Amino acid sequence: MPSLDTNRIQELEEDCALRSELQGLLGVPEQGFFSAEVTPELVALAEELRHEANRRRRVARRPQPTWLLLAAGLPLAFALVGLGTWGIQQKHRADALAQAVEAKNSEVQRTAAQAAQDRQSLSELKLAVLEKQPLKRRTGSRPAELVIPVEHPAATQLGQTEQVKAVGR
Amino acid sequence: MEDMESFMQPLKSETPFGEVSEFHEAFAALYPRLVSYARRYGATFPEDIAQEAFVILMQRIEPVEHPTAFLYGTVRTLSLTERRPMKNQNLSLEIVLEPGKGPEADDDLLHREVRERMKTLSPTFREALWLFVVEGLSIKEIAEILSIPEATVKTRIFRAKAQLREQLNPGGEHALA
Repeated sequence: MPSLDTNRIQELEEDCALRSELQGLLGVPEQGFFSAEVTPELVALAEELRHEANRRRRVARRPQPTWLLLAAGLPLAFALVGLGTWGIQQKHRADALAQAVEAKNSEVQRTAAQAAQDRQSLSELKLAVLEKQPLKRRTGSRPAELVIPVEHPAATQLGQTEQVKAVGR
Repeated sequence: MEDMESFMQPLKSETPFGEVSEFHEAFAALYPRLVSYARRYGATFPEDIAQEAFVILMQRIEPVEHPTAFLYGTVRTLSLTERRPMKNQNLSLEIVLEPGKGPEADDDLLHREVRERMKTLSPTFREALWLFVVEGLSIKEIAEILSIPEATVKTRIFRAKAQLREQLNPGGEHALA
């Protein structure tokens, strides 16, 4: 067979000799028995096949719709993941804040209860102390005085007051 | 439009055989051989298989080192797939020149004596011998087509030669190379 492709391996001499020997044994003619005449029909068929190969190559190179969809969906997926992460973070934050508020509330309630209790005990204590004290002590050592401004005629000087004794004394 | 696109392509990678004219020559020489080769495997549509092999070869983006071997290998695979799609693909050219299955159209191209001699060989040796002697492929190319080591191809060819010698000279001395 004639060398059709330029990269065809150059055969060893012993291989060529072996082929000739085998051709002799089989009775195969040394020259190719297929005609290699380039007819217009064969050329037309070859061209058709070449165009078909080019067409398939172009189709194969075209990006697949699956990849396009994936590429388009990727930003959306990233956005969704980001949004989800942010939402989870916000939820954690809200939970922590709610816990803090609850703790604060209970603290306030506890303090208020304590204060009420303290007030109660204080008033009770005050009452008990007051009950134990004598009346004289309660009224105090200093006599109470009532100062009543007296209106005098115009001749009377301003600041002139009259001292009266307290009622019941 | 199609011609324009063809023109836009770089000349070097236009066809695996080189320029378009060289491709036409290679196609004219190889196409009938590949059709015949597919027919010998019992393909129902050998022309389609040979054409498909050419399209597959030229469709490839990566260059093929040995286009002839690639074409033969593709035709073999496609023929076997067409024949027995669900069965084991690892079989040799068992039906080569077997009665009733051989390519009737090519019968006049080979001498009856040759056919008879080939028929007596073991199927395993027959395939390697056919590719080497009739198709004129090199040992390396045959190894590539059959997906076997080169040493195995050589062994098969030498054993086929011994069998042929035995047929021609039964009981005589063996002249193994």
